Formats: sequence, structure tokens, C-alpha cells
Amino acid sequence: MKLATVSLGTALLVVLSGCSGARSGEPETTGAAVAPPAVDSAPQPVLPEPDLGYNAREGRAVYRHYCVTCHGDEGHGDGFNAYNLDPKPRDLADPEFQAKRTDDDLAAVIRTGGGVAGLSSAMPPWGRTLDERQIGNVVDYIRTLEGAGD
Amino acid sequence: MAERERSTDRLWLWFAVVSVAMLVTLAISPVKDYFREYRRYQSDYRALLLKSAGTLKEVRHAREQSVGVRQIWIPGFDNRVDRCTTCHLGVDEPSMASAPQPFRTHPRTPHTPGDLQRFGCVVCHQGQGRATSLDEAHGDVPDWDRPLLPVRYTEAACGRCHEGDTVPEASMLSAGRRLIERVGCAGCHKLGDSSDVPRVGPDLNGLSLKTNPAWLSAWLKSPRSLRPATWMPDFHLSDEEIDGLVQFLWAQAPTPGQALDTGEEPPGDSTRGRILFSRSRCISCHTVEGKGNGSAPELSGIGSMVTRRWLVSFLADPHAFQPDTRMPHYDFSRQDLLDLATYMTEEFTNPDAPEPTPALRPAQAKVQAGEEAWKKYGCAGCHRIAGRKDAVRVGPDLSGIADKPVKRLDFGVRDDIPRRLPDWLAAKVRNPRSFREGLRMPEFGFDDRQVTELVTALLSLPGKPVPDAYRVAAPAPRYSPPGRFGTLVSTYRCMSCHRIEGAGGDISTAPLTAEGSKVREDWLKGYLLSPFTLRPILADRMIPLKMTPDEASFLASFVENVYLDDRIPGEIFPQGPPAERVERGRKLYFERYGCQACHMIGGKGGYYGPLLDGAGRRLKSGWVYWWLLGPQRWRADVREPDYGLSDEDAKDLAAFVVSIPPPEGAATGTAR
Repeated sequence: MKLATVSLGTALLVVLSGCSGARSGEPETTGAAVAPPAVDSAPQPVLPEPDLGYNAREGRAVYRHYCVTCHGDEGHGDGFNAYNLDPKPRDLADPEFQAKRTDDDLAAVIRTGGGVAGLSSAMPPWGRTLDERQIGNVVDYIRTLEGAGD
Repeated sequence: MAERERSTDRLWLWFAVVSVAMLVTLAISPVKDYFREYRRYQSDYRALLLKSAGTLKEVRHAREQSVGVRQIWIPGFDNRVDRCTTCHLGVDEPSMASAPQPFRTHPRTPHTPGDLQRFGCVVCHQGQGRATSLDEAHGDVPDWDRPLLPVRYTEAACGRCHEGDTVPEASMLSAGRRLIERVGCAGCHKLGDSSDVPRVGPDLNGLSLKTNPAWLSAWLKSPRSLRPATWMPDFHLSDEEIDGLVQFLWAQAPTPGQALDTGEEPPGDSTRGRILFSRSRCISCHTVEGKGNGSAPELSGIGSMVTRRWLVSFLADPHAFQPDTRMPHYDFSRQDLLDLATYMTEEFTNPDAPEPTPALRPAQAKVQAGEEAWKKYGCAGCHRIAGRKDAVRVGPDLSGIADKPVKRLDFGVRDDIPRRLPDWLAAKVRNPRSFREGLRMPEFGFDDRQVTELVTALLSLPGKPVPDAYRVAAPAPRYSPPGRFGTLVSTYRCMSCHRIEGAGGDISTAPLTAEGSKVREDWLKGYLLSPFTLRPILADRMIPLKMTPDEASFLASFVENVYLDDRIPGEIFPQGPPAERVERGRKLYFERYGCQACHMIGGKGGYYGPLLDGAGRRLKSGWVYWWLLGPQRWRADVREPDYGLSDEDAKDLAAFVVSIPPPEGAATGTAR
């Protein structure tokens, strides 16, 4: 009898602790639902969200070093050196152009230059100067230029 | 008997209850595990894969996804175990580029996805790698000191392994490290191992010769209201402190070299001064109303700051006034100096500057109060006063700040910011005095972008060095040119703009390490005596130094004999470029490669690259040929792309380039 009480007591304890364990684990899943109101009143980060992600940001650095002199700050094809060129550099911000060209198209012209694609040979090939990741980053950045300055 | 039976029954009942309870207890753990959130993520991911699967192989791949904890174990890096990929299942799966988190593909970086097994996740992103629940893994739990780093600062992690100012493909970190150097943070804070105090401000002896007390006190009151782009920060000084500092600085005697010309000071010719100012290419380093290179101070308000007499003496010998200045010594004539100083003091006035007041007689008590303020604010971290030995670095040591526990940060009265290290740092650099009364750090007026850059760079100072196998060292190049050449290079401060053996400034696009293999000696001599514009697109062009012909010959001959690169052939057309090569080269130049898009010949073409008129007088044919076969070998960030030319094409183009005649009637630099 005594043995039975003790074993039952132990079992109950284990069950209870198991339950409490389950309960303490509970906020893990419901926490997400409870948290938002708390976040609203919580202090906001000191800085706003950045405007560009990593790849576009690195693309911007490459663009500003190599491309900006002809294609211009916002991609309108109006860089310092543009007036010497015939045909004029492409307006990269033009939404129509952006819609027509896939990322692969853009990367291909950057890689092998305008001449190979039947465009102006004034656009040089960058495939041996920039690596594939840099070219991908520039494409990502060019995509952020759509409608720039409009 | 019945009594006994009842008792046995009761025992059986107890036994049954206990057994069930036991079973339930044993089931709790597997049931809990079954409902773990990562299982939900893994089944969602499998569904996502199935949905996007186009081929049978992809369907099979999706079906084969096993359920369970995934981990990356890195014994060589503090025995790290990262289980982040248990939920972040698509990090190296290109098709997940626009999937919702936690499945999205990782951005392309130099280390991802290729080096995932070498680095794991936490070394860059922080958080608790061993955890398998969201809050714990992201470190949003009490007693975990390194919660997930906000994405905007992730480049800080590159800097834990990569030393040096410029870290490839980490533009934010690189910009932050350069900004730290520029504003001179190390004048007040120790930042890592270096014990160098940068002293980014000018030496302050002999201010009484240079300016007037009213200007100095307005400057101390609010530097940016006199010169908006200055990096001199605002210390929010009290009027007493300003008065004391002005008197203290006034009492600092000029050094023996800072002797003002005491003779008669005839008026100068402002018009001639303006021509001299623009011919001397002052904006190759300085700015005027924001236009110019910006590595040296803005000059537009200088007329309200300095006296003409001081300016004449300073321009005659800048090194006597500021021994460490990057400004070269120009051999101006007495008349040049008077004209230049007249132009600058008359033209570059600042309407916001106060009316000049006469020199003052420092009072001992005020000087002492000023000295207290000088010490309190650690002015010696940026400015030297000859003859004083001041303690520097009055600010706290920031080495290892990236790993400082949040509990040890003083948030003071700032209840409005999250209790996190990055936000604490951002608030600190933006508004350092806002934490509580009595703080001394000045306000620099950084904008959002600069704050991000600085915080990124600060978060790259680890408390404990990374394992040696992961370190990418970048020892600062130290090179000083020898002998008389070295003395002249110092007089003309060539290395303020040009690099030699990796050391020196970055203003010029032309490193001098192999200049002797590139240009002809007679051309170089002429160019040193009278430089002309090679790259019209640049504002920061070579400055005319007014050196003597003897100095120019010596420099040119030294460069020609010492600064050579064995990889670069000398003359490849000893008999002159063959006509058929020149013709082929001309076709390649204009038709095949479109070189005229960037280079100008006879006033036609682009002005991105250097002008090519008379290129053969300047350049050696072997260098042109070598350059064309891979310009980035000359300097990694050269903008001319590598066209992948064949050896023949490169030779033909080189032949054409060196045969381009100099413009008619133009000075070629070889005349002298």
C-alpha cells in the first residue's frame, strides 16, 4: 500500500514536471504571436533599414568605379564621357529596356562587350576584368536603377 | 478473505494507473520533439521544393529531403557547431532566391555558398549556433551576449579575419575603416594593436601669427558653422572653456621655423593670383566651395581666417609651419606669393566669420583654465604643440568592442534605443553626449550612411583574435625612397599622391613603382618641369612644382634606372614601329576595339583614359604592349578592361599608339 502511494506519487510528479516542461516550452511557439505588440512599443533601431542589399551594394561600388563615367550616376547614359560616344550609352533606367532584357542578357553584354552582341564596340568586354560574382552584382544594381530620377 | 481480495484489486488498480502514467511520461519527450518548429520548417521546405520541381529528378530530390537537425561542425574554428541550416534550408540552393525566409538563398559573397563548411553561419551573423529553436538560435534570450547581428552590419564580420583598410567586396567595412582613419578616432581611442596616434589636425604652435582671437573662438564654438565639411568635431564647449582655450593657444609660441616675413608687404595682383591658383592645381588636394579632391582643407573661407602676411610665409615654406603636412613645397617667386595670397585673402572670404579682433594678451589664470580644457578634451589626440608632452587617448579603449557584453554598456538616459551593441554604437557615434551629463566625446555630424560605416568598422574589432588559419593579414606597406631622391620626394611630397612599393597616397592613378619601365626619361624630365593634362576627366591632376631643371633631371634619371619591373619589356620596336603593324593597329583601334570611346587623339574621342597625342614620346613601346595584355597587372583597380588581346593584336596596337604624332605646335614637355 505504502509502496503503491510512493510510486503513484513519483509518477504524478514526473507527469506534472513533464507537463510543466511542456508548458515552459509553449512560449517558444506562441511567442511569435504574442511578441508583436511588445515590439511595437519597444525602442526602434537607431538607423532605418538600408536601401540596398549586399549584392546590389557591391554592384553599386563596381558600377561607380567602372561604369558611371559613360552610363551616368542614375544610369541614364549621361555620364561625363557620354557626349563623345555615338551611339550614346544605353539608358539603363528606362523601364522598357529593363523589362525587355533578362539578367542573363545584361550579364552577357557586360561580359563580352557591345561588339559581340551587335551593339556599339564602345562598350568594352568586362569578362576578364570582373569576375562572375561582380558581374552578377552589377546586374543586381542595374535592376535597382529602374525609373531612377523620374 | 473478501478483505484480502479487495486489497489485491486495489493494488492492481494502482498498478494500472502507475503504468499508464509511466507510459504517458515516456511519451512526452518524443511528442515534444515531434512538434518542434524546425520540423514544420522542414516540411514547408519540402513542399516548396515539390511545388517548384519541374523535372522528375527535382521531385526525387525534394522527396529525399530527410527530417532532422542539420549542422556544420568546424573543429578548426573554436570547435563551432552551427545548426542554422536546420531551418535555413535553401542557403546554397539557387532556386530559392526569392523564397520567403528562412528558406531564401544566401546572397553571393566571396565565401558563400562555396565556403559554407569552412565558416558556418555564426562566425559572420552571430547568434547561438547550437540552438534549434528560433528565439534561442537568434540569440534573443537572456544571457546570450551575441544575438544575431542586424544584416546592415554583416560586413563587420569580414573584418574579424581581414585586416587592412580595403577589404575586397566589403565596401561598407572598407569605407568605415577609412572614415575612422580620416576623422582620427585613434587619437582618443585605442583600436586594436596599433599604438600610432594619427594626429589628423594641424600643429597649433604660433596661432597668434596665423589668425585672430574672434575667429578662433567662433571656430571652437561651432566648427561646422564656419566650414561645413570640416572633420573638426563640435565639443559643445562653454564660453569659459572657449575663452580659456583661445588664451591658452594664443600663449603657445611659434616654432623657430614659423618666422613671418617682417619686411614691407606690397600689395599683390589679384588677377595674376587667380591664374596662379588655378595653374597650381590647388584643387588637386583642396576644395573650393566643395569642388576638388577634398583630401586637404576647404579654402573658401580662408581669407577670413588667416592674415595675408601669414599666408605669404606659409606658402613660401609650408613644411616650416607644419612639418607633417602632405602639402608640397612649391618654388614660388616672391611676386607669385604676394599675388596668390592677395587673391586668396580677398576672394575666399566667409560672410559667417566674425570681424577680426586684435591680438590679445593671454592672462595667466585663463591660460591655465584653457590648459585644463585642452587636457580634459584630449585635444592632443589630433593636434600637436611642439614642446608639450600631452597624454593622448582620453577615450576608452575600443579594442574588442565587437564582443563587449550588452550588460557592460552604459545606456544612461537613452531608454529610446534597443538594448543591443550595434544600436548603442550607432547612438554613440551620432550623438555621444545624449547618454548622460558630463561626457566629453564631441559630435562629428555623421549622416546615416557614415554611422552605418563606422559601426560596421567598430564591430570588426574582435575581443579574441580569430584562429591563424582564418586571418588575412595586410601589413601596412612601409617604403621610404633613399638618398637625395628621397629628400626631393619629401620636399615635393610626391608620396602624398603617388604610391611607391605600395606606400604613399592614393590621389594619383599612377603608381611610380615601375614608372621607369613605362615612360621615357626625357619626357619625364620635361613633365616634372611643366606638367600638362594627361587625363582631362580628373580634377586632381599633377601639380606644377616649380622645381629646378637639375632636380628634374636627377629625379627622371633615378626613376629611369631604379623603378623598373623586369616583367615589362623595354623597346619592342628598336627600328621604330613597322608601317604594316601601325596600319593594322589603327584598324583595331578604331574599328574592332573602339578605343576612341575613352581615349582622345587630336581633340577627338573620349576623355576617360589619357590623351594619346604624342604617346610615343611619353611611353615605351614595350610597356604599351605589356599593358594591353592585362592592364590590371599594373594596378588592380585600373579601369581599362582586359580585352583578352592576342599577342599580335597587342603588338599592332602598341605600334599604332607609339606612332601617334604630337599635336601640332603643342608643347610636348621635351623642349626644355
